[in-house]
Amino acid sequence: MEDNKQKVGSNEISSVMGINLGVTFDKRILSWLAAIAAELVVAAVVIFVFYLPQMTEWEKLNKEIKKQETLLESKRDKVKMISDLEAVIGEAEDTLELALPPNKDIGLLLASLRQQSALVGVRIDTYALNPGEVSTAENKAKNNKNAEIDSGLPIELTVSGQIDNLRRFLDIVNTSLPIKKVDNVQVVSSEDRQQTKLKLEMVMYFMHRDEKQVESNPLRMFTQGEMDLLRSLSGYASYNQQRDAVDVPLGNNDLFGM
Amino acid sequence: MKLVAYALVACMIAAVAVLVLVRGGLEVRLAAVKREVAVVDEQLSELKDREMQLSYESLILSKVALIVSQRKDFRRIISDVYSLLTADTWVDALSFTDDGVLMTYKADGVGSYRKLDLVLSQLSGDKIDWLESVKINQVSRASNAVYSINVDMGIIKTKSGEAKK
Repeated sequence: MEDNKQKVGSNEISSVMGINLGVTFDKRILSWLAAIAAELVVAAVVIFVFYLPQMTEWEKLNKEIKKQETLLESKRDKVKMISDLEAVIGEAEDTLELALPPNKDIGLLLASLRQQSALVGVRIDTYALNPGEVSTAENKAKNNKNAEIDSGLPIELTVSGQIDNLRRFLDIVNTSLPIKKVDNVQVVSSEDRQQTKLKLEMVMYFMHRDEKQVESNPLRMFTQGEMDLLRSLSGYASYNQQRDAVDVPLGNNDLFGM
Repeated sequence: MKLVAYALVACMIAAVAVLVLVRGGLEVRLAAVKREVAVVDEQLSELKDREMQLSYESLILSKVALIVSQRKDFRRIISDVYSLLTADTWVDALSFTDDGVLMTYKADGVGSYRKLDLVLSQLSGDKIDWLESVKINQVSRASNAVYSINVDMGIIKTKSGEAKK
């Protein structure tokens, strides 16, 4: 037909649904294109329905793995720190326990001073101390939420002897356990100059073992200075309680303790 | 054409398979890490008591380090002061103030004043490195032969403002 402008072969098409496309297509190519489009649509559906959720899941899993690995690393570090600290503290553990007793142990303070004075040949003339509240660490922690972690027990002490021995006494006070700090010193010579009196104001320290304080101070490795101090402390003289307990029983200084 | 279509389908199936495999691999990895965490957790729970004990020890050490750092070296000052003494001279009294040392030297015997003078001249020298100033408060004669001299010795302050005792 003349009015029919399209001259189409059996494998060609120039209009779709009565609309003239102005171009002639090969039917086979068109069907390929349709097939490819259909496959792309299927692929897109697969991507959106399956692939993308899977990718999100991957991401979640990767994040979780990373989180767990970080957690694992930190926990392993903690285990390593515990074992390293164990190796560092090792035998010094007893020394540290002796350095700061858990409570205001007046008996221990007096007995250690007596032992140290005897060691260097000086005589304790007088002493005065105001212990105040005396409680065990356990009671303190139970009864007081804001239990102080540390405190000092001040003591005024007068010792007499020869000046060289008194100097040795000062040395031994500074290099013995429990740890003490001398705050002031007065020296007075006797009339005959044979003896010298040393009046000391000093503080013995103790530390309540309070779990809350430990929790707020996470475990850490010691600094070099602390390691050196630890080594020094191991060489400090400590009061031999067992030997003394046979000679002079110290009694219970925590009179109302449970 | 069919070949291309099959290839595309195969690619999709392969992609899905890879996705499933990778996800499975990740899940296996996660489970393995969680298992390791559980093992370390168990180790930590066994070490809990030790951890607490070691925390106490490190707290004690910190506290002891603080106390030791605040100590003043009274012994050294006393030793230095006594090292200046000559025959028939002695330290009659010595006390520490916020800024230094207040002390009384005494001398006895022949030429006792000169002996004290010798002690003072040593104080003025650079024998004692912690000495900042020397102030003579009083010179007195207690009896015919015993002279005494009361000296206020200033101690060099450290950067923290604490006297370097």
